[in-house]
Amino acid sequence: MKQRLDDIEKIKTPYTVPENYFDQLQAKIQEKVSTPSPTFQVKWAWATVPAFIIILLSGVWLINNNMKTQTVSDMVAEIPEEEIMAYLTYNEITEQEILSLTDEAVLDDFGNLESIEIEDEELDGLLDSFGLDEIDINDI
Amino acid sequence: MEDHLIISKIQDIETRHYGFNLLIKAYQERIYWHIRKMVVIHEDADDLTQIVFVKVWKNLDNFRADSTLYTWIYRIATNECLSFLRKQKTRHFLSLSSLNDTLTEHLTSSHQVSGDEVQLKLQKALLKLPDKQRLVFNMKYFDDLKFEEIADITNTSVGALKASYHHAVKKIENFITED
Repeated sequence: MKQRLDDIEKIKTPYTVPENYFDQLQAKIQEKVSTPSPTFQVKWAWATVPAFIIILLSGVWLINNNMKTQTVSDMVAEIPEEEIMAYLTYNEITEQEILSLTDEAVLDDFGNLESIEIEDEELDGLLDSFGLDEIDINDI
Repeated sequence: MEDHLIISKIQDIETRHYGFNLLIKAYQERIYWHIRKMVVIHEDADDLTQIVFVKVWKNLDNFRADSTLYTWIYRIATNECLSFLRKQKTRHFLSLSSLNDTLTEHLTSSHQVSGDEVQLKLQKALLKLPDKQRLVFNMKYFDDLKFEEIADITNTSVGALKASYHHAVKKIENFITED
């Protein structure tokens, strides 16, 4: 049998609500309209944006500036000698490559090798370290 | 409380707060129930009711005396409800259950429906209606509004509303008979 809507008791407030809810609701609404408008707070927050951008840009500029003052020579100078030697040995750089990158003035000093006071053992060790022990010094 | 008294207090800057308090007192329950019947969950209805009254407060200057205060507030509440339900449906879009399924489950598990099993059946049946049709049904059936007033609130023709209400009643009767 079809159930008719007219047969059902009409309850205008079909759900339950917490006790004294409507007393508290009025107070909550009044509080919301009494406190400063949120749009003002949003505007105030937006007003701080330029200051943040200036701070951010200053930070970026300072970091950039510090990085630029450090030259390649400075950075190479910070690397320990042992590490450079290990790198050169590991990468098997030929003596010709080393010579092509060497300053002319340094090469000129090789003409006065006799004036350099260095023990034979120490010289052999250095030549051996750089794999130069087979080079005839007169060919340079 | 007569609307014209509230309006006269609101229109005077010095008595605006007092007038608004009268307005809240006069309308908060009706607006809460209008919203609650649409969104079902008390916490959501509570939030929306507060939002509606804050909007009313902010737009008091936009209120035109050619509309009744009553239909103006109802219109704001109705728009808030429909907007809220649209957002909820978007959130449920990727979910396995629909918003209506979730609300139906809430009705059963929360024991917040007043009255007996038949009332629960009726509320479940209402959730099967499209939102706008449910809105029209609620305003006519529970709030006893005239079709002309509902037309003013929803900006729809009286003829369309009558047809929608009649159709809703038939669907509800079918739902509760089948259930």
